[in-house]
Amino acid sequence: MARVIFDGVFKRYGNSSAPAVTDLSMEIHDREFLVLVGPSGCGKSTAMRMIAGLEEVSEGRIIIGDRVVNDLPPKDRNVAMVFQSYALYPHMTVRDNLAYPLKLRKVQKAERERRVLEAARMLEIEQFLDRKPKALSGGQRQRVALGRAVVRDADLFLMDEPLSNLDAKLRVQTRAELIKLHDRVQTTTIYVTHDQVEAMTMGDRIAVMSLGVLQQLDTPQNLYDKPANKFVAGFIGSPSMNFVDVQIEDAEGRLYATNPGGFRMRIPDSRGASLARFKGETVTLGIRPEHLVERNHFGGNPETVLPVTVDVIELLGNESFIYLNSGNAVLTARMSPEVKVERGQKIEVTAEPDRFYFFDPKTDAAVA
Amino acid sequence: MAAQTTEPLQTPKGSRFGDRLIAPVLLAPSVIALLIFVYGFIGTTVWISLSNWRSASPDWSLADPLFSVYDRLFNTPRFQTDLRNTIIFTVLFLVVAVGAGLLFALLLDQKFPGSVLFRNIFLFPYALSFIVTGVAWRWIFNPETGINILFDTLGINWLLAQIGLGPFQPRWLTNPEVAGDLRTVIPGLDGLFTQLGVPLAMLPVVIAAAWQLSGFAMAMYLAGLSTISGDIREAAQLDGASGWQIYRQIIIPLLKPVTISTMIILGHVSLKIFDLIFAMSGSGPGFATDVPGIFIIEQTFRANRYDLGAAAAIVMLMLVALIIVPYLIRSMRDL
Amino acid sequence: MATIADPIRGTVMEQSGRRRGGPRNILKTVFLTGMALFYLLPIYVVVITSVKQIADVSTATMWELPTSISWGSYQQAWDSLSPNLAQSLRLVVPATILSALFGALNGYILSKWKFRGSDVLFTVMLFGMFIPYQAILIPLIRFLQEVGLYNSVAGLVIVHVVYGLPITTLIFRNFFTAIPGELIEAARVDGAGLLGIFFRIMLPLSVPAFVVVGIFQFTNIWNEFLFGLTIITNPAEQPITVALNNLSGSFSVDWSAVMAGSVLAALPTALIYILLGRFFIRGMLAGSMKG
Repeated sequence: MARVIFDGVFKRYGNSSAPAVTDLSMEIHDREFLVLVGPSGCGKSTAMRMIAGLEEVSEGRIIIGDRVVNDLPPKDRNVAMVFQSYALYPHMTVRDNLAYPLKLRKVQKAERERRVLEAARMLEIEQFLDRKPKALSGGQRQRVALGRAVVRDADLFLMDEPLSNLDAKLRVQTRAELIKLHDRVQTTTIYVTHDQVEAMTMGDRIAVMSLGVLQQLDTPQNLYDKPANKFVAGFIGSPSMNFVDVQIEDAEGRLYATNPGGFRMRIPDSRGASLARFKGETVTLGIRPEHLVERNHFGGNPETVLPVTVDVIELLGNESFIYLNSGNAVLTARMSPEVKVERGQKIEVTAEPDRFYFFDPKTDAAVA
Repeated sequence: MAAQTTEPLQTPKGSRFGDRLIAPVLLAPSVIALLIFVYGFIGTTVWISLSNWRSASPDWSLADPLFSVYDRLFNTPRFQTDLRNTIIFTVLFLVVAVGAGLLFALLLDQKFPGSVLFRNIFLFPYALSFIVTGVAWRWIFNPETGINILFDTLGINWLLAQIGLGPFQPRWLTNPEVAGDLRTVIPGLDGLFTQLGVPLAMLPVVIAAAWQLSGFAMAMYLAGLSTISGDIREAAQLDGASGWQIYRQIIIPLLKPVTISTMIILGHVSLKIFDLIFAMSGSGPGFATDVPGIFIIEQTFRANRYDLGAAAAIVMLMLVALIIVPYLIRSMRDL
Repeated sequence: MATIADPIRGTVMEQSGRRRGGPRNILKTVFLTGMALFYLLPIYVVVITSVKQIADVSTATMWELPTSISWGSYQQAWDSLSPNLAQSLRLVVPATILSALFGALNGYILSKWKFRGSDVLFTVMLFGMFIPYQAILIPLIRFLQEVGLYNSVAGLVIVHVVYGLPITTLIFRNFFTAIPGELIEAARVDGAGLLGIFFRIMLPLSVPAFVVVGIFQFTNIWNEFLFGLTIITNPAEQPITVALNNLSGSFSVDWSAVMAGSVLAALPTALIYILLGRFFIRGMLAGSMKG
């Protein structure tokens, strides 16, 4: 059991200009399930591999528990890792795969067998103990890989996209089992994924990374409600948040968001204060598809509305995706199937005042 | 014409069925050629080995008793020596060549500056003819002209003299001695005419053959290593294995199929070895480096003992088949 | 951002000592360099001896660099070996081309037009690659005598083509197996037949396989000795390997000429290795069946 601290960590490869990880500082609490998420190449795997000791730290410190581990070889870090490919030893039976780390740590044979059996029971792979990995299904191999981590009593679990080789159904099922497993063993877990749904459903907290830089570290709900910047806002949530570059105009003391294509929307008064300094300038307006509501179905008092034309309708049964045109902006709305609209129909949509997000286009930071 | 009305569905004159017939026809010339040149000729050689053909003109009549030639062959001291030499050579050669190949591959698996150059150097001899290398090695392992002079040139013998030892001047290819004799240990072998030990002149031949073919083993192992994912090594590191343990417990066991294939291929090459020894040392002092390959050529074409040459060739074929046939059958199952 | 950690510097223990070992790498490089020198030793001695003047070739100085470079030995070696080099070339080129073409056709059929028993036939063919040629030599020579091809390059070409079939078929079969079957099906839907597909689709695709097979066969046949020794009896018409062996076996051995001859005999395959090593290795490993 341990916390992990990144303290100003950089990772540079050779003489390439952009570091793979830039000035990463964060603390992962003891017993926490932390998800590192971001698109491929964002540095999340590199960050994890530095914890494991599989990559050297170029600058800064990594601390596990109370030890700076920068110069410690992987085998002395007491860290267990689950690989995307599972990395099971193909020449060993499941039993030997599980026992191998214990053997290397000179655990007595009786104790070894007890722990292997315990881990196998926990992961329900007892009946496969004498098989080789080749004879197992993907899901079973995945469990063995987990078992190899569990059996060790490691301070830290590192999981590198462990579910991405499973089919969709099994992935959802295993997701839940992983959470249960973590509740049970309580080992600090760092979980790398590119899948924001996995991140949202599994993480106590989520660290969103992009281009080697930590964008935001927060609980799933906070990431969704208060994204720190445009990247996080766009990355979390599916379908993605709609972004429209708009001009802030002042007409008779009221603020409007407009763009040259004919888009024009009044900004809710409650948001006026923070946007006042952008008068006459451009900002990025963000609205999540699920927050756009047809005016007639809107529960509250529609202070602001946006006139749009229905372009394409995708019916999914339990919900519909409606693609809307307004000027030269295209918006996606996610609505209940009860909202009956037709292609080409002109409608008005709106959202709760605090569901409008604004981002400074120069820094991409959220305007509170 | 009733048939026409009951069979309205004529197969169109297309190539679909034609192609299925053409395939074996196109393969036939090669198959027939190999059936004759491999199996037919082996059959003929078997016949000759059972015949009375012992002069320049063929005599196809069968010997009486039928296997008398083989009886004669196995009681020929020189052939007994040849079998001993082949087995000793194969064992030593496999240990050295496969061991060196594995070592080189493990050291060169991870790229570093110069690693490609090292790979190319170790593999280079494989591209050369056994005759070329045999000629060069003959010169090097000639005690009067070769490597012993290098020891002098490098001052090794001077160093040995300084610490009170005599000069290191092995007799290499000219050494007729045989080290050890299994006949003194195992009682049933008294009847053999040849000393069952290691012929010392064979050692330079082992060095030359390993020099030439260890690159092949290295290339096989490098190809095998490239199929072991980096994840497996990293998993082992995290499991707590040291560098040596990763090799010993993970990588080398995973390379077992490569080791078997390499052993079979190099093993069958060494059972057949002929060119290298023919050019390097010939039969050697007291047949110390003689092998069946040389025996067969000399018996057949110099002494006109076609029956004996053919019998020796069949024995050699049997030795090769012993390891190749199971390998082929196993490979066929994977097809 | 909610919680950016502020590491508590006081409570952590610094660990010292670099882990990537320098000494081990130095040891490895020293060992590899030593082995590389040993591997280059015969090549070194052959090359330096070949450029020494006859007077310079004394046993005492054989490992030392020549005092001056002389090409006389090469002239001498060329004079005696050039007919054999030409003979080897006349043998190798047609044998390589023919065995590659047959191998391509066989490999195509055995991978894309399998029929009942074709895998067994393939295995039966492959066995020919492993046999010791001594086991077929007497009947082979009798056969060549019967058909009037004994003592001729044409006979030697046929021998090399036939015994080359297993390996060339194997390499092409492995190559064509990797080509998706949809390609064949698409061509058949478009109306092409077995041979049309072979000539218009498979052959153009198989240039890399031809390079691999070509290099492999060229090297093999150029370096071959036993057939050259026994199928052609006139020393002036024997291939280079046999001629080189004869030269080195003659009584008054002029070592610098023999070494120059060795360089000449080794040059074609050595150049191929140096220039096309990648393809060379692929052919070499193909013999291990797994492709």
